[in-house]
Amino acid sequence: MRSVRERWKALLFFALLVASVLILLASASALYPRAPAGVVRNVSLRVEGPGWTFTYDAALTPNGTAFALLLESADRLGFEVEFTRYAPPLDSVLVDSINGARNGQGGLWWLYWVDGEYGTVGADRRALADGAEVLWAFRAYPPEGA
Amino acid sequence: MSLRGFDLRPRRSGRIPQWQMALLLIAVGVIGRLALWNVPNVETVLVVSLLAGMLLRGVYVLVVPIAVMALTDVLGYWLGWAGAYAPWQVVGLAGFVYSAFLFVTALGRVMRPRILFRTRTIAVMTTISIPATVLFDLWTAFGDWLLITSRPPFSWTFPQVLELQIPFTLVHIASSLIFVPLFGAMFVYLHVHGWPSVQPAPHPTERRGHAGSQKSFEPLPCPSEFLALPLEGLLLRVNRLRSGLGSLPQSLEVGFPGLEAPPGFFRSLFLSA
Repeated sequence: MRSVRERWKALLFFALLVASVLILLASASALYPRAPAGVVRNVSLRVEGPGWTFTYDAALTPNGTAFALLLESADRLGFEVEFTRYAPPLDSVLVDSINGARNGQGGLWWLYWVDGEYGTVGADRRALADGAEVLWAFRAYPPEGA
Repeated sequence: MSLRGFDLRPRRSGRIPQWQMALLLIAVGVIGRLALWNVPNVETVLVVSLLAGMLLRGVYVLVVPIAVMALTDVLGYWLGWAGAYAPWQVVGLAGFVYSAFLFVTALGRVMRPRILFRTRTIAVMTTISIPATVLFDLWTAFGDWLLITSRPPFSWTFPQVLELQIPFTLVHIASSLIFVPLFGAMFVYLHVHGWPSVQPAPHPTERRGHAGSQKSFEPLPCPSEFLALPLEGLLLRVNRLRSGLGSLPQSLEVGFPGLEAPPGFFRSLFLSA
């Protein structure tokens, strides 16, 4: 009799746990802001590496985030971008290397700015407006400015 | 070659030594943290810190959280998983994170429930882990704000940091709700019953070990014992009948001459069985 009651208690506890975890994860996902995906016009990108620079302009592009525009330029100009995608709730990316220059080399890191403002969220969550100017630069952290 | 079946029957020889339990907790913490390195706020260090406070005593209470963090921090840096922060920021943040885990351990120690392998014990542990997780996140968010995000290029206020922290804390609570019952149940089982035995299970009447082992002794029959129970019951009835016969007058006990039980030791054994 006692073991049956114990079993029911355990089942109830397990059901409560599963429900709580699902509610918590759904709430966390709903609370984390997402960049609105949209088509942008006349955006430009500049990538400053150690001893080299790429520039890229797009008159019209559906890649309306700082990260998506970087990937588009890499595809068009033929350089390589490596990144790590982090699981939710971060659900974002960290650019590890661009054109062979890897984070941490010489104490430098890949950082980005949009219209002169330092990016404080994952680059795939930083939406661009029409005419935006994006800079990716290999610099020391914390950065002193664009 | 003969293969022995793995017997999950409790060993009943006493509790696991503290150092073994501490090593096991450290292993779970280290493997969990390294395996979940890229999954923010889903981790096993908080659960082992809490369990260390609840199940261990003495220096082991402090050794477990510190060893897990120190080992994984060193391994993380060695594997090149380090971030861009300056050394003073890393040391400062480490101070906040280590002290937060020690606080969780202390909370586990202070709010230690009665350790029985029951749903209630696991439920109490899980409930305690919720405020522990929230307080851990508040303290480390304060450290993050103080050392990193209150400065350029972020220059955020503490309320801003707390607002951004909310989804991460929700995930952290979910992580605790998964790992505390999972590992809590495993470690409470080991704490109460000892290691599962790979040797033939000892007889229930066998008494071994020290006083602590008697206290934690809980008879859990193995499957073969379940099968033997009806037979055991039948034998008990026969023995009771024999005892009853023993109390009958001599004339009824021995109906036929020549079938009388032999005198001496064997007779008394027969009648008192």
